[in-house]
Amino acid sequence: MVKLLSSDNEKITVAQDVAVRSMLIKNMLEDIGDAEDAEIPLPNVTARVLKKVIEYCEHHKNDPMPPAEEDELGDERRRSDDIDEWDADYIDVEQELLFEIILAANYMDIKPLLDLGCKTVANMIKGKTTEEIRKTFNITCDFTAEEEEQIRRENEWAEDR
Amino acid sequence: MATQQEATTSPEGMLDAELPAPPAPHAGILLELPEELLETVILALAPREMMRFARTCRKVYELGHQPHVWSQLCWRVGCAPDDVDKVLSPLATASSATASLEDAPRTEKEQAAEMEKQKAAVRVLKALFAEQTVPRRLAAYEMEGAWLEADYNAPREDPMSCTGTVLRTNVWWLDLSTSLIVPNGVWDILARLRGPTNHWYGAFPDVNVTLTIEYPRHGARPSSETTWHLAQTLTERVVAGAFPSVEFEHWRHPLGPVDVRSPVGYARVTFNMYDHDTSTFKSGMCIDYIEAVRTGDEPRPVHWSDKRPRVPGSMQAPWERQGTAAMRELEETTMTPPPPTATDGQDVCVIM
Repeated sequence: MVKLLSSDNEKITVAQDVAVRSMLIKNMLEDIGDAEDAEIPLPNVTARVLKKVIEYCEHHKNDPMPPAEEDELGDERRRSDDIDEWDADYIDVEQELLFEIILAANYMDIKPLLDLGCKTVANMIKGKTTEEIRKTFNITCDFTAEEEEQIRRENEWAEDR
Repeated sequence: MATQQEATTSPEGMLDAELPAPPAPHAGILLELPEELLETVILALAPREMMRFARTCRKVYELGHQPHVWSQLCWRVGCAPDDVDKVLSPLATASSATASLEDAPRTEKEQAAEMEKQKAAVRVLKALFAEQTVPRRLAAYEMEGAWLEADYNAPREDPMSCTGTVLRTNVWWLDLSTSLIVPNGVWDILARLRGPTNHWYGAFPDVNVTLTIEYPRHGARPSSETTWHLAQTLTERVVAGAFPSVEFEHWRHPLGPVDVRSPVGYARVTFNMYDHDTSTFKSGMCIDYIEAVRTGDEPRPVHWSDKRPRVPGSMQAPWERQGTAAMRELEETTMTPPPPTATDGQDVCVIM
């Protein structure tokens, strides 16, 4: 078992085969060796998010590990329409938690979860107009009217007819 | 669940029990993600979606246009990363690369590079067609304008050797040609020309302009193996005295409409303008690009810059000196839009 310490000082114990889905934890475990009582601090992850991340790792603990390094994204990682049903349900959370999961996955180096989060955001963008995307993510347009018009023209060739 | 907690409830239970009501999203919470994560989001998008996303705000726009992001997007659509700067005008790239192969003798390395460019462009084309993206307008950006091949006062011995998409002119003769790939439909073909600023050289009283529409003989996509043949539609016009008399800096010459009905969905449209009459000076004449606009659509404002390369060791021609001065003067007054040309009331040209 591995003891994790969240940023809000909550201790969570998790099975090692689950914990090592995180490359960060895996590397730390290798560094500390057999120190069974050691706690692994995760100062960037709250307990609420950590539990959610652990839930993902638990479900995927038997999946093959992704390659450590990828110079280019593989096709399967680029696609955003290949999210399986469990993952889709898992990641169906409110926006703030979604982004916190993404940040945690990035920090804890859990590539599949990071991809899932980014693909989910991408799916939230798909099919929307620029204005709809702004509304969805509460983005304020900071272009001048002239800049916006120029960019619109630049991209016009790629727009739907 | 294999986790144990200091508390007694499971993580799911904790979540269910303790999660507060979902707060309203923070303002621009997506934009608070680190740039590398935003890039990952961008790269999970199809190019068109990415472009819509990039238009939301400055940060995403700038991020989405960074070379390494474009590089990844190129890979995504099957394009070589060294062609990233051409992705925005893949069709123009395809057409120019195709014609480059027909150009004057080149080294094997240059030919191979051109071939790679063409292959990359074709892959982009395929990806775009696969997405059923029909480009609304096909501006051939980055086309090289005409430039003086030799000393500006020394005509080439064989003007015809310059025929091709490399746009060149000399003081005595004129032979400009370029082409682009156009999907089926009714199009107005517009050639954006830039005349000499050397108004003492006079006008071009007679210029032959030809517009050729060709369909591929075989093959579903344009490639180096594609054999083009003249389509049923062939537009040929001889323009006599149609140019603005003198001192035109940019001028859009309308050709068409042309009805493209290719059996494979696209055609190659070639614009050629030539005049080998040596009685008039044509120094400095060039095509900025040709453009296909859906008939009935409004032509868009155009931003262009002088990208004419210098021939190493060549002198700056009088028209160039004057042109540079004129551009500098225009740049100093870019706060107000340049006035439209006499023949082109819908254009706004900005020296960038």
